[in-house]
Amino acid sequence: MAKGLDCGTSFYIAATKDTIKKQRNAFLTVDGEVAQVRRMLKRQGIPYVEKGGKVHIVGKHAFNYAQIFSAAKLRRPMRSGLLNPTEKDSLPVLNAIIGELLGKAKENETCVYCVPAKPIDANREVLYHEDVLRTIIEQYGYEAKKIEEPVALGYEGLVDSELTGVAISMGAGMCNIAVMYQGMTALSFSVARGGDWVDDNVSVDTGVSGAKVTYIKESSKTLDLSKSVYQDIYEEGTDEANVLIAIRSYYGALVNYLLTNLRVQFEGVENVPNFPKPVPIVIGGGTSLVKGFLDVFNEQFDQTEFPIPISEIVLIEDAHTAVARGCLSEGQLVEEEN
Amino acid sequence: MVREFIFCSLILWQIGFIVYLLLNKFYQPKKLFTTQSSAVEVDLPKKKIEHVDIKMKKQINTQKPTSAYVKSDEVIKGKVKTQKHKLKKLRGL
Repeated sequence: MAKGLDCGTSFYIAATKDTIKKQRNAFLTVDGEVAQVRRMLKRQGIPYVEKGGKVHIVGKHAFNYAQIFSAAKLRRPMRSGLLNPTEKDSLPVLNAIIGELLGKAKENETCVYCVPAKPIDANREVLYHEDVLRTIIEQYGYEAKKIEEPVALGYEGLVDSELTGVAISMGAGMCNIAVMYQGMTALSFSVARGGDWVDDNVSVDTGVSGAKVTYIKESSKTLDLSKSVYQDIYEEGTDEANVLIAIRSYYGALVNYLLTNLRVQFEGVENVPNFPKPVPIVIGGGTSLVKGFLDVFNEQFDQTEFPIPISEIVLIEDAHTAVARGCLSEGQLVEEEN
Repeated sequence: MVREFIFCSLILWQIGFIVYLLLNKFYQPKKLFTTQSSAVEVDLPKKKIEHVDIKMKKQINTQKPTSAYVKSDEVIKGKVKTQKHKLKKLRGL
């Protein structure tokens, strides 16, 4: 049975034909005597990973602890879409997360995992990241196959336009873009800005901790970036209002950055197809989940400056799991071909 | 008379042939200095110069945990909707 794995900066999401599993990609190291801490966590049903005399709480529990205890430092195995080079304890955590999401493979199972397109604004290569993920997945007995994240999104969102159009996956660490023409990738790249960039800047500007900003962004019932709503709903001067207004501001800046870079990339590329008719832009990923996101995107989008005629801008159905589902489709087709 | 003529003729031919061989081997005409240099045709290598990709066996230590107890934060059961069939059709499979 094929599996798709979205290896995101903020979430790892695995998809099979009948299940979707999500795991927050974060951990928090607990001080204390190892055996005692381990016993305590097990008793309370809190997921943990032990390695090298340290015990780390994993997933949403780590995230929740970081909200409650502001002194606790939430650690991230990945940063800007790739393995976090400053986080030395990340590999055992990733290993355990992938193991839980995928389980051990039965015979000849394929797992298609996604990797980011090469970033244009960060001096990083994707190769090591790819190899580490492949090695971990193969350890669990799978035939591992990679595809680029925006292409996986295109497999879900661009099928009705014959795999022609622009797919944008807006993650926590990166935004990945692919321009596709009849299933072929004419241009793909990523920018090392995403939801985390929004959170970090909001945190700096409002004095609220980064973890708290993420929490507000993901759970606030009043957060709506639609212009008509956001002007009326928030009480001026409150902490939450400041955070929400700053979030809107930085979302606008993020989309603008993305579109500007996409336009500039087109200027330097020879083989970009001349689309005979307008094509859709399809958007997915966790950062696009916030209410009113399309309003902000449409505000920043200017057809007169954009190099491709666009027919519509759509948010893909179930945007959070779209990449994992795209990987799953690819995996299922690979298994059928074999 | 005829014999002598043939004999002399052969000798002359031999002398001429030897002189030709000697000149050909040792005599080089003086080079004239010209201001205009002529182009030299060079056969360029036909093969396009490109890199060679290598495949190597990578040994990455992914650091298995000593012990772990991990369960997924969220599990959604039910048929997962994908575009597999449309994708298959588009690929002509």
